[in-house]
Amino acid sequence: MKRPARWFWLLAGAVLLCAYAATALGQHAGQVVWEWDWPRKLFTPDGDPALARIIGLLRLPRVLGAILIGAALAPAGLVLQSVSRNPLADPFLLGISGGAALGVVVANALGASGGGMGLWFIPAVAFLGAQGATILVLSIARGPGQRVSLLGLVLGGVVINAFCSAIIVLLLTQFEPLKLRITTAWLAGGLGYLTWSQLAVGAVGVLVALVVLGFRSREINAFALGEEGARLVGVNASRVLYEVTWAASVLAGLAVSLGGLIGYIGLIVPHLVLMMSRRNFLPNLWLSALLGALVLLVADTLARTLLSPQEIPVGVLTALVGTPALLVLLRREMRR
Amino acid sequence: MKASTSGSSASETTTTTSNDDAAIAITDALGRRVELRQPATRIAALSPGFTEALFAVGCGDQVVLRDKWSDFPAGGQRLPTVDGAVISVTAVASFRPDLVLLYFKDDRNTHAFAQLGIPVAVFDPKSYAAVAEMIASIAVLCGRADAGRQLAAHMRQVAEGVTARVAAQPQPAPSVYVEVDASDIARPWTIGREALVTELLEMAGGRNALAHVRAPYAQVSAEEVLRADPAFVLLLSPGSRDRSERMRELSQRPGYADLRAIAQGRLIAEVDPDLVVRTGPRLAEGLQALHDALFPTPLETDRPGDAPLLEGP
Amino acid sequence: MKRLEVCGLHCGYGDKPLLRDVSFSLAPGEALSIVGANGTGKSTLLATLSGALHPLSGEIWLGGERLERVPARVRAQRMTLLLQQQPLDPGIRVRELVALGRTPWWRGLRGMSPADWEQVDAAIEMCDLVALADRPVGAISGGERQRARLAMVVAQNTGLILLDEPTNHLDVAHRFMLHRVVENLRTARQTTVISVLHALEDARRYAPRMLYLHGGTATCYEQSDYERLREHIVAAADVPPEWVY
Repeated sequence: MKRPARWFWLLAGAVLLCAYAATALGQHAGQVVWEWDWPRKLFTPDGDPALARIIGLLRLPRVLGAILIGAALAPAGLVLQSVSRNPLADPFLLGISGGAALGVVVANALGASGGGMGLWFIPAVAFLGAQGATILVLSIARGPGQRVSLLGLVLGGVVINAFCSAIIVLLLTQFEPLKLRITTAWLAGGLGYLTWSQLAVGAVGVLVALVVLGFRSREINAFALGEEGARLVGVNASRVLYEVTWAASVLAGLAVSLGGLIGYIGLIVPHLVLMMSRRNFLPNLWLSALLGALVLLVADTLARTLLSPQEIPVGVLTALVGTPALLVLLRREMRR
Repeated sequence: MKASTSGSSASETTTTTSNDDAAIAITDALGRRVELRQPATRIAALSPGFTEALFAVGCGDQVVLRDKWSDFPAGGQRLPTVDGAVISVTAVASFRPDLVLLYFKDDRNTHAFAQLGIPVAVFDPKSYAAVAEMIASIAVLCGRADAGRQLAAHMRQVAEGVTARVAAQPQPAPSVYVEVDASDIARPWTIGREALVTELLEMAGGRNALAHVRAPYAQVSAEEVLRADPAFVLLLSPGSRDRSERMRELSQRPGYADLRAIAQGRLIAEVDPDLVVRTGPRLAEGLQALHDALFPTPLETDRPGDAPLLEGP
Repeated sequence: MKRLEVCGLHCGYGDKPLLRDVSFSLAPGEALSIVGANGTGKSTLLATLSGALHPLSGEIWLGGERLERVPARVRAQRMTLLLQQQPLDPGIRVRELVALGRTPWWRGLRGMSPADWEQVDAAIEMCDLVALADRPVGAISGGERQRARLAMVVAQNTGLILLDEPTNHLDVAHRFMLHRVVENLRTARQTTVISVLHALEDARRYAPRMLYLHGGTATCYEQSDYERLREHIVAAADVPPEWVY
């Protein structure tokens, strides 16, 4: 039951299958239609060029975007839970959600449209906001000894998130009702329009962050002994925490910039992975990426088809499903 | 002045002008009876529709407070403003109004104003006819009942004129996709069949391409829009009202160039969204503008790229 | 063979040293107990030796290397510390925990080699944990958990081991086992052991040499000097002589 390699291939296969099925799901006049032969429709557009464009420019990027974002959020949560030994750690704990959301709300408030940046504007603002928050959190976390500590990170994250929330609420009260509604929907998380180049940039970023974490897996494993214990087995705990924070911040920042605030993936998926496998960071890293991708793909597909033609923000779905799931998991923890 | 509100079960607004102990009484949208001894002269208009209605019937001088989104007419700009969505009873009361017009009911607010002895009238019209009646009721409250009746009658006349012209047309109603916001071009915001704009469209001779959406405002997938392939695209989103600029913008969106509305230049960008969204007297103008945009008269067909509407929806 | 030389160590937090001029030297396989009243700086000295704290001045030499100058990974190959309390991830299994002791010896991403696992299994056997090897550490008792942490220290196979009050919370059987393991390491691997102990009887049992901390200074006593040490402790603690044995 506990062989990661087997789970790896199982999950990879499941992700591919679901991606195929999700791309086959179309929406028409409020009804959901299955177009199982979509590759043919996509690559031989002579028959229906409009449909080929719908699949190639709207649906497929969205499916791939869900996979990418899920594969970014879950490992970010896993690494933070591993170094903090706290099962409730979430990538947004580091102030990332606050910073990204604040960036977007400020941009909306200023009525800015990014000039020539066009479609890159909102993702760029969200990502920069996330990284800005991380910089602030790290500077708060650097205690007197100029070393990053876990407690400092958590405190810094709480402070920054609270501060950003306050400013966001203030700005929102200035929005007219319709704009308020639209901004609230963005804050609830959802996969909007993603160009292929945005996907490519995101994929590169996510991959680099995952590889960096992979190289640090030995040190991350040592954190099971606590910060001091890790130091005693030769790990430079402060530097590893610093690197891990940046990697998690890049992952979560990319995820938020592409998909808004989608919660619970970073919180729940690591738990599910630990139920399937032993505590060894490197295999768990890839397992969580795959499982996160799968979960978000299913959630996003439901978000666009459950109440078709209306779109539910995917963050709402993950919260509705994630909360009872979290309760079940916590119960199991408490019983042990 | 005395304010009394007794719960009555009437859901339609009716207007009566005299009563035994109250000089002016109407029933508002919630079926509440609002009675004043004399016409209100210090009115707090907490929605753009109310402000426009009051000025239109000649009661502009009787308004002491407006909500911050009321930007029409220009004469109202000098008035102090307050937030109309999150209402601070203290702030409103500090202006000593003798009538407060609200566009949604909040028990706490209503109770608070009642405690302070300030009459409140709630109007939330969901149809064109309801807007006309609302204007008449408001006019009664500010002492211009005749002007109100005339304005309401004018609105009805405009509507009748438009619907008559539509009835005289042989073609079926063209489908229209209404875009409210496209910050996310893969998931734009549109209006559903419960929105007032949908009714206006139907009166103007068109129909909502996404009528299967129920809610007044909803976010849909761009895929739905592309599949619906509407005959017209109506832009109610903020931004330029210049048609060619918006045309360029839309044709750059993935898949939108395939829409026949874009290919044939049937993009309606010049209609001021306030004319069709605000529940005030300008709805008549909005209705007329919609009709003109959907069925341009021969004099107006020198816009490049236009095709006379000979095909079906 | 690595000799430990501590020269003129000043330990403390901030600017003020809690302990001044600590000097001693240990040959491989020798054992030292650090004793003293509460607050005299036992933990501070241990923290300075283990590298958690920078010495305010002075030097620590191990086998010709200055320990303070050595990178963390190398230092962890030379010496380690068995903490009194340690937060642990409760889901980790005993064998995995012991395996973490091999962390300083891994190169690159290779992870555990068969030789590493041999060390791990030997340590598990030495500490009587074979039956518990597959249990999560959250599911075993406090004493068993301490054994597991001891096994991890054993697996780390360092030339110098520091023990911070290792007999606290241990029953007689466990204390005996701890003593047995430490003696085993000293004779078989020539491991140098420094233990902080607060009960004098343990100190006598564990180490023939004692470092007595008192008033900011550290004085060395051999087993043969025990009576003199006892007199000093009675005087310092102001207790009847029968209480110190």
